[in-house]
Amino acid sequence: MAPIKLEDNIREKLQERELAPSQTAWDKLESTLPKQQDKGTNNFFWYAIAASFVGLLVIGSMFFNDKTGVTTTEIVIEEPTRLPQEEGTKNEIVTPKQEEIVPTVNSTIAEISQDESEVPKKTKKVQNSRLAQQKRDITENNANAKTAIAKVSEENKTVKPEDKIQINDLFKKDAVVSNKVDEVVARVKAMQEANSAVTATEIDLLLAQAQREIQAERILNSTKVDAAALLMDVEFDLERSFRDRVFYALGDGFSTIRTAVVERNN
Amino acid sequence: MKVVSLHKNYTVLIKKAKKGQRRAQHELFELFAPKMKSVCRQYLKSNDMAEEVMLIGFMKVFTHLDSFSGQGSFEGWIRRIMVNESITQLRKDKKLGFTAETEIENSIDHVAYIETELEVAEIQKLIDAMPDGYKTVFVLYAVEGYKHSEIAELLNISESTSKSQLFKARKLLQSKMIKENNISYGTH
Repeated sequence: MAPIKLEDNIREKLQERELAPSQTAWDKLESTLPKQQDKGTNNFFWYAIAASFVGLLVIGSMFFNDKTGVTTTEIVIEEPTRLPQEEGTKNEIVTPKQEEIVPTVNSTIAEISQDESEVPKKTKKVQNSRLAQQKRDITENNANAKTAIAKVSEENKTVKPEDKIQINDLFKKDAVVSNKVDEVVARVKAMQEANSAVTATEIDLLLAQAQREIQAERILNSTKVDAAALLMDVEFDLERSFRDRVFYALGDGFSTIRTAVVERNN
Repeated sequence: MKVVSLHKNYTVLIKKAKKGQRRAQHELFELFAPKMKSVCRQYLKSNDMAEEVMLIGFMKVFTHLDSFSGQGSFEGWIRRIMVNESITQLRKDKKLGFTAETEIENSIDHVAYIETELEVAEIQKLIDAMPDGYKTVFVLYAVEGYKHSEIAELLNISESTSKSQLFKARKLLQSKMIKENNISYGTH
């Protein structure tokens, strides 16, 4: 066995050695260390501030939400005062308009009456029956829609009176437009009855006229009117929704008329 | 991989301890206290004294943790603090009286060989038997690996004093070992 260097042996042994400190060593050291728990309490303090801030935010938001709730009711309360005016204006406008329509329809009938004799009675009958059916369908749909709205309003009875008023208001506003739709459809049907071929330009004319009337009605109905802004807004809205609805209502009738005309020509 | 993760753990612990987190400080204490107590015991004659000095050393470690740059061994940094504290303690006790030694009997560095390994308890016993001046220089040089210039600066003595103290310490050690009959001599 090779002899071991004394100093190397001493170094290795001493460097490897570990002497366990006494049980109380850490406690003694901790007592001499600067109180760093302050940092922890500081953290706790900041957490407390943050939590209270969040709490305040929540309470504040709740408070403001309540406030907005109050304002909405205020707005809704205004609406019923408008309602009788709306109804009144609607009646006022609807009556002269109907009067206007009659002569125009009569004149168109008069214009077309010459061609009427050429149309075979058979196709005319078919058209009439189909149109009648279509009308029934439309009225049924309207009835369904009305009952649905009525149901909804019944369901909402328990919620709030304001909601009911809003629904009614909406329904009335909608009714104005649907009345117009019905009118236009009726006029187109009258034209169809008078003459099997109804040109697109004629329908466009009717639509434009009806749109103008609805616009006028809307402006008259509203108590506060910013004329320019309202016109811009409503024009765009009307152009789409009203036309779409009329075309939807007429869609089936048109196809039947076209087929009828094609059959006749053949 | 183990070394890396260990090092990473140290880094995290040191970071937390720097922030003053007690738990991290405690963990570092648990990790290094046994070794550091041993370091202090090399210079101080009793375990109690070693622990006392070690605790002072650890207090300095935690209060001056910001001055540890993170480069180099953390253990080495703590160890250096422990050595300094041990020497400060010896100074306080006025045990470090160095007489100006100019004569070194033999310039050739004698190296002592032993036949069988000494147990650590025996080693400690041998060291304890030395005068504090010899012992301190011997431990600093032979165990901690300090150079004579470093020892001179640390103990506020001249390099030659450091060398003579080491020479005397070795001589004493060898004479003790001869008594035990398990030592042979050689030169290098």
